[in-house]
Amino acid sequence: LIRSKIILLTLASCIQINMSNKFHLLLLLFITNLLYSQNPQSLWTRFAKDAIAKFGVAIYHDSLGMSPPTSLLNSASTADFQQELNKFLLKDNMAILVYNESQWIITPADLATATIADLKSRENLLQKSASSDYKVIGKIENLRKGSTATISGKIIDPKTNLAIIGAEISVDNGSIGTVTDANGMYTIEVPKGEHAITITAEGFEQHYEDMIIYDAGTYEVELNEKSISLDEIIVSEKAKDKNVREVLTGVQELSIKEIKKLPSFMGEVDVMKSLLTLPGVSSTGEGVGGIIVRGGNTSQNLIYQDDIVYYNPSHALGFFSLFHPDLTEEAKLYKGSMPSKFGGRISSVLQTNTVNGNKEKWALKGGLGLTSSRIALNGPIIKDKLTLVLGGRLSTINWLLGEVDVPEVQNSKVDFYDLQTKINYFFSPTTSIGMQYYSSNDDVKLGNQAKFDYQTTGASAYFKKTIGGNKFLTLKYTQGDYKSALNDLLRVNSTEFKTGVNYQTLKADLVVDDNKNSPLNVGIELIKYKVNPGAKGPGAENSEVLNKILPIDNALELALFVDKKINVSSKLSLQSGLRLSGFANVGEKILRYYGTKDYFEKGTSTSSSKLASGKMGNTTYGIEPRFSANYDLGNAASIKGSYNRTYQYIAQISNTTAATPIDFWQLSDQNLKPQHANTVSVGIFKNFKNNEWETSLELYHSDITNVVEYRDFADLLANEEVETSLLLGKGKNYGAELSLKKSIGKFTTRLAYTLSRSLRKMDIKDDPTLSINDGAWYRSNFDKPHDFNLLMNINPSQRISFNFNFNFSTGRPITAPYGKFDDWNLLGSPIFSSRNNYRIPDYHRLDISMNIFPGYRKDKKWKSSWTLGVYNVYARKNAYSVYFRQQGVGSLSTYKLSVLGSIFPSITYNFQI
Amino acid sequence: MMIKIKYIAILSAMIITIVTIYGCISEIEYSADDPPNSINISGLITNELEDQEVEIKKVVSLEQGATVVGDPISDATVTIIDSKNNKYALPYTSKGIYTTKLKFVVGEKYKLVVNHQNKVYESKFEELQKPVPIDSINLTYFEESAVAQNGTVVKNKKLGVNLFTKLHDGNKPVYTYYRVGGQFEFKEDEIRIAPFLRTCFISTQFDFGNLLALNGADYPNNVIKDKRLLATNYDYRFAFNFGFRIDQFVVNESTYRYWNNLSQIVKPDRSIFDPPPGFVKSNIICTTNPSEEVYGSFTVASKSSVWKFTNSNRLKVPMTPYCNQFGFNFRPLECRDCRTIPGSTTDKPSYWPY
Repeated sequence: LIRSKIILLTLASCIQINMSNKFHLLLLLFITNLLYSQNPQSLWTRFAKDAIAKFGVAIYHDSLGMSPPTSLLNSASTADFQQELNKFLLKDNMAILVYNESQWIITPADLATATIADLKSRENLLQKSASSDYKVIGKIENLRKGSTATISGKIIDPKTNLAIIGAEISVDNGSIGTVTDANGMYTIEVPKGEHAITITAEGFEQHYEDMIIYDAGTYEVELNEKSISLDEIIVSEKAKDKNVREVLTGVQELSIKEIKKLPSFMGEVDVMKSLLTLPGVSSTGEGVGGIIVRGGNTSQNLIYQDDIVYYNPSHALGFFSLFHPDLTEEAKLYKGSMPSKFGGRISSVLQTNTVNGNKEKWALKGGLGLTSSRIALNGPIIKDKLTLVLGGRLSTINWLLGEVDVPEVQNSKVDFYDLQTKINYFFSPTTSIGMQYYSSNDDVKLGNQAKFDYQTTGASAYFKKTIGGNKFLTLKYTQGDYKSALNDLLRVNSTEFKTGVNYQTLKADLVVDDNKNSPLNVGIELIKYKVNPGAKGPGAENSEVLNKILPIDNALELALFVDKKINVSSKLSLQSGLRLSGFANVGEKILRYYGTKDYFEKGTSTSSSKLASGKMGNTTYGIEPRFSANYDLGNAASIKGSYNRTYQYIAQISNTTAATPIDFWQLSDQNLKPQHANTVSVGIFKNFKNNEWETSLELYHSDITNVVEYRDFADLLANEEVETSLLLGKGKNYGAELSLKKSIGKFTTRLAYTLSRSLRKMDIKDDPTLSINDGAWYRSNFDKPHDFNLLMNINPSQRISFNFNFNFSTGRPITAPYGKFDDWNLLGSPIFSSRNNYRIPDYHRLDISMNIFPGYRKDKKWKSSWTLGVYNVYARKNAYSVYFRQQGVGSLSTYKLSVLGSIFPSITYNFQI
Repeated sequence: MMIKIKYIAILSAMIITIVTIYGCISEIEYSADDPPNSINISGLITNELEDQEVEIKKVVSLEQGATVVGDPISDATVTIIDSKNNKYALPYTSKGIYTTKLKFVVGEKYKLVVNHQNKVYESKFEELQKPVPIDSINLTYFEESAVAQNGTVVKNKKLGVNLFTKLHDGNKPVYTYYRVGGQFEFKEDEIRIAPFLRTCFISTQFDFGNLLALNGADYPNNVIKDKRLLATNYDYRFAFNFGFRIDQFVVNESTYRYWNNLSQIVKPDRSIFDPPPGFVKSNIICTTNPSEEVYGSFTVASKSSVWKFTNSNRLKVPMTPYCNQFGFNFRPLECRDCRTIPGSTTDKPSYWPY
């Protein structure tokens, strides 16, 4: 009886499947006593008779000419009979399946190789699918197309309509699992069939669902807030095993909620500073903007907030960064592999994303700190259609300066603000447009000594369209501007120096998702640059400095890119991409040529020409292959490798180690060739204890061509022949990064150790006297062989957490004197070493902080938290710089400048409405 | 509670601001490698009839101490050669100095040749430029604010030397650098009968450790007006009559670059925004061993000088004499015998106007 039921159910499914078939052949099945019969005619006759007798249906339809073929009737054996019958049935997309020695089943053709257990399971699923107790994804006919299905979706908080970051999706009690990313999105690959799905997130009710999965699909869930919950303690930022499964090497992600837990300087949550806890990332010192990624220059990092590029990502000369913590959702740093949609920098890409607008409800967040205050508003202007995100920060230190009874301090100011807004309009679930605007201003005056002003502005607009459910088209236009001005405020010869970069970008990006976790990404990007390489003039009325304004430099950069993830097998995944970039200067521009020499000497150009206004010249291009592979070793382990070539057509010219307002950007041209790097990375990744502990060891090596270095005593400011103050050479960065991370549980930690070198070589063959360090490899400014960071978070309860951060790194290289000589009246003139031959003292620092989250009920409108922190706990006077000063006649003393030489306590009050 | 928060806020603001402005600067131990066994040759010849000097010493390691000077080299042969191969020998005098009284010719090219222990050190030929006279100088008193270690602002008394001059030779901009010296009166001050209290005239270099090199092309019409050459502490040296002598040296471009680079290294007000220092290449090489680094330079310059005299009364800024700072029982030796002061003479210079 059971068998018959199975057979009938199978039959039912066949009928269901083939209703659209023009033959609508019908049933099929059975038969007993066929196996040993040797008479073909008898075989067929009995087959037909039994079918009619048992099920009352014909097995063929006379009107369609479906009479048994002669070959079938003439079958000599059972095997022959099966073979012949299959030939006949396959024409109608059916096949005969041996059920047992005495029973056959006619099935859809795709089930020809199925087992009886498969059929039982299939019928079981069909039966359950009809029940409302099960959530069904996909259609039954796709059940046999692959053994697994990729389910993706978004987990949101229906109250705020905001994505829930770090929600855990557990399949069948944790046999498979993942975690939502910073957008609340997840993707998980599961075996097709019946599963029990559990979704949990801190502060939200658990969601449970029985599910039948036939095929890839989406599954979106709304999690309700717990009656008493906490807002700021979610730590998970990505899928538990994403570090192992991710194909790209050297990718690091930090959610803003993780960043907010880090001890911070003066209580200011800082995206850039948080990156310093990652392996391979360091800085040149405290109070310095920019980051060093794997030994690269600070200017070799492409820093995005959504689509706006930050050429100087710092506020207050580097004490803080431009990122508003309440408007930033996550930060993703590509330091090894770089998807081909990114280009223009050779070291790394930092992609930060602004929060998405809340479609249903307004929310207000903010914070009051000692140095700045912030506010962020987020909500729908038109519910489900038009959203607005608006926020800003304002430095609040100046009113305090007035309280300091020191005239020089009272005469100083540290003003900064930033303002940010994002508007999205949703025509439909698949079509939207949006605009974004960012503006920041820094106005820093250091007593009567110097004044720095710099501004970053950016605006972007986008159109997004989902086509056919699996093609995602994005069109973007972005315009940005960075300007800086330095005035040294000297009484005599006061100098003002202005510089800046303006850019416009058009980008089209298409992602085709085949629902097999192997998307294709193609696109095109066009960037128009207008660079102010420098304008120097008198900084005061009585200054003797002459005006010197260099002409604006224009250029175009065009890039075509394609990326494809390929799952070669269940073990091996590849991501291969190609970026073709081209660059051209645009007139009006004077082009100077210096012959075939490998250096440029002032006044020695052999010829020059003028590139007419609007005309392109000096066209160059770069072929940038990007390739990554991941081989799954099983047991939550993988090995990865990657090769990347990257080109950079704009360089920051600096003769200081730290990023300062006197640094300026210079476009490539016929003399300053584009920098390019070839980078190879390999790594092994292994998670332990059900992905609770993540470990990795990565090795990398990068060869850089056309690295720009300044000559000794380079005259860089507003120098129309700046190439004569520069040298082009080679660079290489290599190292090993060890990472250990625990991100789940009451105790979480991250340990990062980097062993690395960053070297440069300026071997000027045509004039060896210009070579740096006799043309040998030497330490770059960013060579810090040892970098160790330990971060620990302890969450004894949901209302409080303690955070510790310790950092140690080798002192960065400096050029230092090792002898002295007397020349005329300059007794004790120091003899400086070869470039970067010494180091400043090693750097180390301990920070602690405590977060207090008063409990609140979900219907409570005002939610708040406190952050108490102590930065530089043991008051280490870390050297920012070591320099040497003449002390009287013939005496040379060594001094260490510590930017922060004290303990810095802080307190910040955060609120949310 | 609010008071505490305000206190913390103000304290933090003070710290961050002061640290931002001045940082936390402290002297540290520093260990450097010994320099190679090199020599330091420093020579200057001018168009004026005066002692033309070349000084030769050993280079000193920083490890040897901040105030140690190099051992003088006395067994070298020093020769100046012009483009017509005329040779001018500079015999050894003392303390590593080789000198002769000569006047060199504007427009001629000269090079320095030094023979020492079978090695030959030789400069490039450098042309003696056309001299450019100084228009005038001005001495001004001013106060300069500075922040002390405890964060308070103090006013330092300063005397500035300001320059008015053209920086062209009639045809083209010139490169110059300066030396600021002078003399001041020092009066003995003690209760005694004989000898009578003396007045000494102390010669000094006001610009030790300071150097200014200028490029005429950097200034409008190649003229500078009221440019501060030097600011020195306004102290006992200016209690009585004193005079500043400004020497303006016109040099060629490579010499200007040498001195300008050196000035960037030695200037006392270096900040973190200054270009990192580097190796200053000499125009002298060791021809018998080109890999040996030679420190110093051979400077060929035309010279013009201006004196400026004044005193504290004219400046209307009284200054307490040196000896008045002490009680009579503790007056130092120089208050009883000013001739013990280096550079001192009791002979009133012929050019002294008072």
